[in-house]
Amino acid sequence: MDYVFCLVVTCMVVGAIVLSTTPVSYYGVIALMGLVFFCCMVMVGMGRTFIALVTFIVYLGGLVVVFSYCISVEKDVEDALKVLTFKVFVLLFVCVGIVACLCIMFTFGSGEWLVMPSQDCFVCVEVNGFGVLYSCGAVGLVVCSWGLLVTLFSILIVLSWHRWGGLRPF
Amino acid sequence: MNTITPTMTLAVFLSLTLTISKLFTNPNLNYTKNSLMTTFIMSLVPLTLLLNNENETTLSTSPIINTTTMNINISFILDTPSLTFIPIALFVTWSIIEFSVWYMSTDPYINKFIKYLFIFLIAMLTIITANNMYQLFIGWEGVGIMSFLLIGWWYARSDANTAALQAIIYNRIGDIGLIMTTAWLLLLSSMNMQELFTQHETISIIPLMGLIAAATGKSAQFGLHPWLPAAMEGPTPVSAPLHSSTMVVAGIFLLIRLHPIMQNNELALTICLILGATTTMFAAAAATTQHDIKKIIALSTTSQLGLMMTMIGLNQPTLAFLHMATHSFFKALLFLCSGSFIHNLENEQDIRKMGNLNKTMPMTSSTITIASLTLMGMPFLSGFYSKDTIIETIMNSHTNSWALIMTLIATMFSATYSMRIIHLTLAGYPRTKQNPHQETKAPTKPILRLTLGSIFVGTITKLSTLQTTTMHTMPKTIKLTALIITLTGIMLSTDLLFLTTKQPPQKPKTLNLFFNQLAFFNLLHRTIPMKTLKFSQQASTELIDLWTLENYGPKGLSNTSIPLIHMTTQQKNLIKNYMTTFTMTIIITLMLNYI
Amino acid sequence: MNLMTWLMISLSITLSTILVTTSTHWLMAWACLEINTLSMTPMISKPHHPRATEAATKYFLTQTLASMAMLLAATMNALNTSHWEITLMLDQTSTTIMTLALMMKMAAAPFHFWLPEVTQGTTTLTGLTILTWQKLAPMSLLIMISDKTNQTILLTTAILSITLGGLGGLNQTQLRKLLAFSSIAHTGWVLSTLTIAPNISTLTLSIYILTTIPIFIMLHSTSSSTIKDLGTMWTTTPQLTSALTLSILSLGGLPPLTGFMPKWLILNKMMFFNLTMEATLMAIMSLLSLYFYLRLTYISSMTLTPHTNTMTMKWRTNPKTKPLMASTLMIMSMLMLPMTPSL
Repeated sequence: MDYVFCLVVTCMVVGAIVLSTTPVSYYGVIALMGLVFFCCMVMVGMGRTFIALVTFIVYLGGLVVVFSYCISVEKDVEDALKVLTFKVFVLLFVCVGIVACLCIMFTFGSGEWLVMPSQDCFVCVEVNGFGVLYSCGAVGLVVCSWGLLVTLFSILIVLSWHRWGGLRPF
Repeated sequence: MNTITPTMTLAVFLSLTLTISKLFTNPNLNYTKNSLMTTFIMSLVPLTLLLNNENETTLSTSPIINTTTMNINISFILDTPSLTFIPIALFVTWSIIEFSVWYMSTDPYINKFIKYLFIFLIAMLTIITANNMYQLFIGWEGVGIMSFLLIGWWYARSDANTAALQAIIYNRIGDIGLIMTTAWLLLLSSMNMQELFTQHETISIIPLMGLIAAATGKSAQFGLHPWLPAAMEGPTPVSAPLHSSTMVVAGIFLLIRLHPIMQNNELALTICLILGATTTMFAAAAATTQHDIKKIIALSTTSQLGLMMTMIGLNQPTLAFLHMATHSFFKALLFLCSGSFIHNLENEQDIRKMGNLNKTMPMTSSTITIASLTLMGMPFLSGFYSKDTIIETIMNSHTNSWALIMTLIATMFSATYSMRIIHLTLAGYPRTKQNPHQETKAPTKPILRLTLGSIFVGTITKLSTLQTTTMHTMPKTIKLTALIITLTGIMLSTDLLFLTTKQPPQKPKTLNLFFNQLAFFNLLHRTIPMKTLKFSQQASTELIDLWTLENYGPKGLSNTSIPLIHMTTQQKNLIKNYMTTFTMTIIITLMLNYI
Repeated sequence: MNLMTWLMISLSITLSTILVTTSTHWLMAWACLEINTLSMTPMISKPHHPRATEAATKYFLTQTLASMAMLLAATMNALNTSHWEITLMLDQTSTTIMTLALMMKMAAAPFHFWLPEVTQGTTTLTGLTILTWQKLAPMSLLIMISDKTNQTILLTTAILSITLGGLGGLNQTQLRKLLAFSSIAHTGWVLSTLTIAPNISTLTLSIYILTTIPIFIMLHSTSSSTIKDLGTMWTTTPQLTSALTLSILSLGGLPPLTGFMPKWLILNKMMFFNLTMEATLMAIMSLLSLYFYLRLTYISSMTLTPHTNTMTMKWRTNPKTKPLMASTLMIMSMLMLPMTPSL
């Protein structure tokens, strides 16, 4: 179990690095998708299956929009590839470095450093948590929904949908 | 009977003050002359009583300022020196004021001039009769400031202004000593003279040095001497009281007055002796090199003051006082005569341009001859009685022979420069074209009075009880030393004058220049202020203003802050850098937390 | 932006701030801060100008980063101590991260870069909101955890803020940027006594707000945006010119004015806690700020801007509305020093 866990975490780190270094936006989207996937994997591994599923679906939904936006904005793939050749080396170097570090950690027995949660944490506690949110934490729920509303609202205002339509100053 | 002395003395003061105030309303100068004569006669009454009874009166008011530690009151002492010197000062000033009415008759401010002279006289009388250090100090400063005003009387001339400044500055240097002494006495002894004299055993060298410094400044002893010849820039009627009875003798008078606290201190006495001997020798030598008739007489004053100082150093204040008294007469006479010459020769002061004046001005010529002979110590003229006694005393004392030799040489020089005046002004032929005026009657009267004074004062003192001669028996040569030395001086100078007047002109020797320029003290007058001011100007502008303050102040501030401003505004609108900064800061802080 | 929108946004800004100050739960605080940020973003981008949009983006990104760090810290705290109480931050690491995140929200020294640009990018009154109102929420959180925070970090940040605020302002001609730097310097003063005397910090912040509001309102009413504009202000509003001078001097902390009070109290308190070196350093560094305040006063009221004789003067008709609030606050910002004992 530990080894699988470690592999997943390593993949997560690699995904994050790819995301931060990629020059082409739709590569980044793919990397982000992978990252989200691995995050949810970690959560599943720790026993939060329901929330992992919800998060993954929400992210997938959002990422579809982002992905289509990226595709529509993207114009110069050829130029990006040239830049990519340089970046790939850097990326590889960093990945190899991280993997080497992890290997050294495992071989020299500092594995406990990485695996923080003990076996007790893997109990499924999320049902209790949501129950609290809906019964006692009503105010919190209101605040959360208010926050979501405000988010939506401010995005609309920033984009000024009602006045400018498709014509935006940037 | 006893009340007469203080009454008459205070009446003298009052009468003088009233005369001044009267001058404001009544510009008749004859009145001042008469009032001075009256005061002189009034002042003779206490003197007579003094000679009869030998009594000493002290007069004190109740304290003006009452403090627990010390009371300040007005206090007069009427003893032998003060009661003797008051008539002398009055007599001399009487003559001088009568003379100056003639001499200054064309001056538009003659009234003010006479008033100044009166205040000068009153200040001097304050010094003479002061019984505590305050009063003495008031008189002392009064004399100083009046001498400044009088020397600078012709203030439009820069020379006169410089001379007045010199006088006040040199006096001020000496005054430091007097102030120091006063402060010392205030702290550790008493300001009152009688109380002070009872504590003469406990006086240390510090106040005595202050006193000597004060006397050096006021009496123009060597070191602070240059102001006295320079003071000749004032009108001659100023020089006359200044040098005879009023200003310069105040220093010597201070030492005479406070002699009881000095008499046991060998060091102070030795300093006085050496200072006096140096001054008398130096001034006499300088007098022989001068050409200005007033400067010669001024330097002879310095020389005579040095002689008085030597006497103080020999522990003989009585002799110093005696010489002071006789000196007043003949020195005033010399000045009045030279003033008469100068006036009648239309402001010509150089003795090389005079000559043969005994034909044109026989009266003044004869009086100046008498005065010079008195100065030289001609037997049975008044100078003889003091000077001869002084030299006898020096010869008989156990003092160091250096001081003795200096004094003898100075005596010889005094004969020399007196002969030089007589020869060059009176005898021979006129060397330039002169326009001599007739002698008038007005200046003759005071001159004649002073002539009588300089002839008879010595004899009078001899007849009265004032003089205390030494009662030693001595060999004939020692008794006749003064005469022999004087005669040698006369003969040598006569010979020298006969030789040098026939010689072609020669370059003056360095020694001559040294004495003519008064040991080059004049150089310092300009150079010291110049150097200090220049130095401070350079220090303050170039070092501090232009360099230090500029570099470390405004320029330094802007130079240090501009790089800092540039450094802090390096970050320009890059969002990635903000994020990096934040993340890095968190990481570094956490690392620091764990270390 | 129409009225309803504006109303809704300002309502959520106000409400969220108040909720932050009253909440005791980290998640609530975080959520309200997020709401605050999100509703501030459209306010900043209100002019629909590229500069404003850029400012909004910057504001959003920095605040989000800070919120994220805050959430991280709260989660770590909850993980280690298993509770979300704001006042019980027992974990050292999470407290440090939290402090730094809140400092970024308050724009203290090493994280201050966003503030001048955001302020410059928006309108004057929005800038005022960013400089004053937006500081209240993080400040209240900081005060709540003030007994756990590391004083070294706070003092370092305070001194850095005062220095950088002073240095940055020296080179500015834009008034809003200048006041943003002044705000950074004042944040430094606020942070300096946070652990030793939180009430003085609160007082400092309130007086800073009190002094800044009239200045901004004046700048808004005379539509001045650069120092140059202050030079010609006397032609339109001579009274405001002298009032502005005094207010700015009060902001600089000159003795007879109100602004002197917090500095006085802070230095006094720091001396009391034996922080003499730090207090001296802060006092000296605040001279840099004073220099540009003096430059403002000099230009606004002590000298005449260079102009030719034939140049026409700026003119305007009398304003319809009287600046009642500005004048009240201005008087308070100048004359409150004698009230010190009662505060």
